[in-house]
Amino acid sequence: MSIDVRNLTFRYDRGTSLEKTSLEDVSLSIDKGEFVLIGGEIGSGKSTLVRHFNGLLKPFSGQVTVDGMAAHEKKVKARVGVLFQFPQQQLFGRTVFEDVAFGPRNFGYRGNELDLQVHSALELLGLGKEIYSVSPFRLSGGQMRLVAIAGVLASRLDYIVLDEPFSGLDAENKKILLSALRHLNSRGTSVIVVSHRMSDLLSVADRVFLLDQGNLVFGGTPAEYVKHAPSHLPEITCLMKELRRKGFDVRGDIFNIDDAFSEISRVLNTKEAVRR
Amino acid sequence: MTLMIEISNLLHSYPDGTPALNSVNLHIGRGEFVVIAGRNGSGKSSLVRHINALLLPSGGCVSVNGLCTSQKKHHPDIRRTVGMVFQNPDSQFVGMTAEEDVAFGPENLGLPPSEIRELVEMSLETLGISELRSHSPRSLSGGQKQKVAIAGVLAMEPECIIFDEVTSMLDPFSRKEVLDTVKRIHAKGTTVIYVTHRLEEAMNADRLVIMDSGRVVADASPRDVFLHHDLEKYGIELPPVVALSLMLSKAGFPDIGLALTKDELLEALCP
Repeated sequence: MSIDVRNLTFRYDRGTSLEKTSLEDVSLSIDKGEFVLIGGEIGSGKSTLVRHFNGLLKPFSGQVTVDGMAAHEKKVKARVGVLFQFPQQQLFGRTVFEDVAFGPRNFGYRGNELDLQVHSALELLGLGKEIYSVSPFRLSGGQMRLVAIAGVLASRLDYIVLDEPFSGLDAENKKILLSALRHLNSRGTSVIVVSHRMSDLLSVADRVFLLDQGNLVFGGTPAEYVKHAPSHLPEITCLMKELRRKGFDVRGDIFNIDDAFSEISRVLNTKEAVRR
Repeated sequence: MTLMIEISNLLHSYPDGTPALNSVNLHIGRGEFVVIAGRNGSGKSSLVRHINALLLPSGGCVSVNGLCTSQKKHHPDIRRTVGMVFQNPDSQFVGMTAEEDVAFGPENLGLPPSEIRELVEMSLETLGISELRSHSPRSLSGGQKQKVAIAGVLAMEPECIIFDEVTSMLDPFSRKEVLDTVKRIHAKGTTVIYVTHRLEEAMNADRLVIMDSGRVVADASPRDVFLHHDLEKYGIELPPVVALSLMLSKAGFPDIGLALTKDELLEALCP
């Protein structure tokens, strides 16, 4: 069970003077149950790539399959959910509950089961009962995003793709969303996050892909990424690498604050001991 | 420094009575660079929308150059003095080309065509987007769009510009470019009010104001705010380097002290 992308090439505005290659011969595969991070700058093709996963875009050449089926087949829509960059624009329900229920209802859930799924998705994202009957348009920007995300989570899909889900979320909501995604992933859902802020997710992702100008320039584990990636390193990794260059004997493959802290403390303590 | 914006005991309630802002006091001088940060829903956007009279006080007073926003006759002057750039540039475009879009503001001010042309040139140049003038704003990248939006506000030569989370949809490269532009605009004498929840962007500010639950909970230089306030309590994430330097100095390495940037921390560790 996997999403397989084989030699995918895609061009926008095909056949016009504006024709622009957006993806060039990209091949990769994402297994069911994986937590995958797709990084790269705006315009690198990451959003274009994931829009192929549920058939919103059709390959110009190459192919994209989901569990063996061509991604634009209708059946695939019940397996892959895509959440766009401005999810608040995907809201339309009269109440928060109605909005979140729309997805699962379309996939055939009814009655108690539907209620249960909507409740558990909202609860997972820390959204309390008091907002269920409120219009989603009355909520703050951060809450609107969480409600839109709840709609995708409640649909119980095999693969969920989130395009820049953290932009515009504060630290607290980011934590809530991250732990919700980890929870879903632990239940077997593949989570695919598109983000240019890679440092947030390196500690949780199984695998990382990096796109640059429509080309796949890296694919591997987070540890391999911080060792070999050509660009987009987290600031902490840059700091550790520069410390090494200055003869400060720390590991260079570190990407979160806690590891950096223990690594630097270790070296400082050794220095102290030597001095004594 | 001349006082420019004076906010006293500002109250603001949503139509259903829930308070959005609760006795906020804030004074901003001409030429200052003030960053306002806080978690989602802390009231930072509501607060700045009072400064150019997009929202009006339920209580208290907001005045700009001595003109009170609660008097409707002052609104044209206030809005001419204070320009605003929003998070999502797509919702602000009116022109068919970037140039037309930038000209829209000065045209509305009723300026003569030669002056409009000059202002548009100057703004496009300051933003470094002169070569994009004949592009449709919709065909541009996120960072370029945001620059067109900023140029449009700049062309009206406001004394003060409010940037409301203008970088939150941008990648690191475009974010840095936009932030550098903001610094350039400030260096030319414009008062800058910059709303963000990314404190990395606050390092160059004169003042960092933290909002929580509709109140101002900290107002000092960025360095003093990091040293004397527990920002996690307010749902704000410290920049990684700042957090790391504070962890180290609290854990028995006091010499390291607070580092605002990677270079400061490098310097402290390898003098």
